[in-house]
Amino acid sequence: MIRRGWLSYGQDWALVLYYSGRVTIGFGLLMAIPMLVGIAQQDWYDACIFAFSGGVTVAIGYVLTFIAGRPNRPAQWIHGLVITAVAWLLAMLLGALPYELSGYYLSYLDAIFDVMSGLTTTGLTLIQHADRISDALNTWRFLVTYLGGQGIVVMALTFFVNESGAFKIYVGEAKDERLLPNVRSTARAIWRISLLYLVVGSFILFISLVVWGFPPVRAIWNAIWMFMSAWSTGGFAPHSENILYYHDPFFEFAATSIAIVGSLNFAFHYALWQGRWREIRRDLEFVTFVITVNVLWALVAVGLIHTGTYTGIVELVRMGWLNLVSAHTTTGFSNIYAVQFPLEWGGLAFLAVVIAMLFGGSATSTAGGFKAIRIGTVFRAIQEDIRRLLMPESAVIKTHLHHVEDFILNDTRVRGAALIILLYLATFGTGALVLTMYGYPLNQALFEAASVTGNVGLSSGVTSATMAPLIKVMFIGMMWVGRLEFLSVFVFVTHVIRGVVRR
Amino acid sequence: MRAWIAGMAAELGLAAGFIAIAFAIAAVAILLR
Repeated sequence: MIRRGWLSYGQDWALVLYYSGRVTIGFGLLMAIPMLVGIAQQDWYDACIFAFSGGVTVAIGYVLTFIAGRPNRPAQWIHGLVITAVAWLLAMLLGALPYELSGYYLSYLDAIFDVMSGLTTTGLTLIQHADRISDALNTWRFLVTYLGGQGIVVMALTFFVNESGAFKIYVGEAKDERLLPNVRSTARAIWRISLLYLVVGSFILFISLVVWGFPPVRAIWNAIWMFMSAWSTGGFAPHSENILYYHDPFFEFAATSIAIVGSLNFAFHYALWQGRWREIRRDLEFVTFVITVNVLWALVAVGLIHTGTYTGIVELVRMGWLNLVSAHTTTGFSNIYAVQFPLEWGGLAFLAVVIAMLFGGSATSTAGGFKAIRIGTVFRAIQEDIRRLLMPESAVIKTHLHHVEDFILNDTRVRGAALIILLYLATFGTGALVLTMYGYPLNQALFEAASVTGNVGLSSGVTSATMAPLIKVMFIGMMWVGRLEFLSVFVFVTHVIRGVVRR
Repeated sequence: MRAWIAGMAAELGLAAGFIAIAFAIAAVAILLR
């Protein structure tokens, strides 16, 4: 039979279900961690919630792998994309079980919204009474964010999948750069970097909290959770007032610094950890990030000085810079109240934050948004075209760039970068349009749509449990496509539609 | 291992550098007001 390069039903779905099942089993096993927290604290209700939810998740994963059977051929690119989309959907639906059973959510829709927000490292939340939830449930909230940042497929590749074709699954999760020749070692390197930072970053935050008067045990929990949130550029906090709760400038700057480091490309981390210092100066993505952060910060500073919102330099940097960096790294920590953005930030600073949220961090990192590499690529392409117009027609112009390795700018790269930026803009535009249809003011609609599309998590006051269900569903979809960078979801949806039509 | 620690320290140093630059830009913006 001649294959048309497209999934044929039956065998291909079996392959997709098999690997999705493996990822689901891995995800379910992780519920043991919050369960153990519950047991250790003699919080039997939460321990039972996680035992039950974990059991159900693992069982569903096993059933899927059982139905599918072990595949007799390696996964192709197309499978990788569909596996990722399916695995993320399953994780969203099953990861919400403990949330729903905890009683802190008004509906199951709110619970899956929060799981998707966590997995995509967005950080918008619909939880009720966040200050009162148990340590076990908080551990799960932050674990979901931490895992989502590394990628649940990366997790599965590290620990549960050892077949050839693994790289093709890995790419589906918007992590298309290999740090090492072998995908399994790449996934492991990602984990090694993240876990080492977990220890060091949590310690820095712990010291900051203890110095500020936190009881040591509470400080340990808060430091670990806030590290997971910052490193994954998530933005959840164990308190309803987010990072403002701590009222500690050092803690805020430390958390923001961790978020900046977390928003850098894993390949960039790896290069520096190998002693390749020149990357700091040469890497197109890092240089682009430095430029866009500082230009946008200058705009925010001018805007805030103009409106007179913050008078002293420390206050200006603490409120202005922290929120801008939080937006640019797509973290979503905020030390001001949501309504202050539309009410106190004026036009310029507000718009600069919206642009920062769309720009986002680095590719192959935990961040969302366009990603700095794409902005850099498109900018250099424009530059090359201008040079071409200025030179004689016979001149051959080549732009040499460096990102992970040396390369020459070509149309394929520019096209890829431009198309993804265009898709982000289309998603952002659609989101803003729907929000204005629901009667939200334009500035808030733009802010919230940028925040959701870029997986940021800052809010201008739109996101709340009282939001219309359709908006919640739309936000879930936007977070999902934004995090997986469209391709996985498009291939999955097209595949389902084609399958239905074929029948 | 030493290279890894140096790499991590460099990254945290870069992040601290961002804060220093932020203060410098803010100071210039305030002076030019």
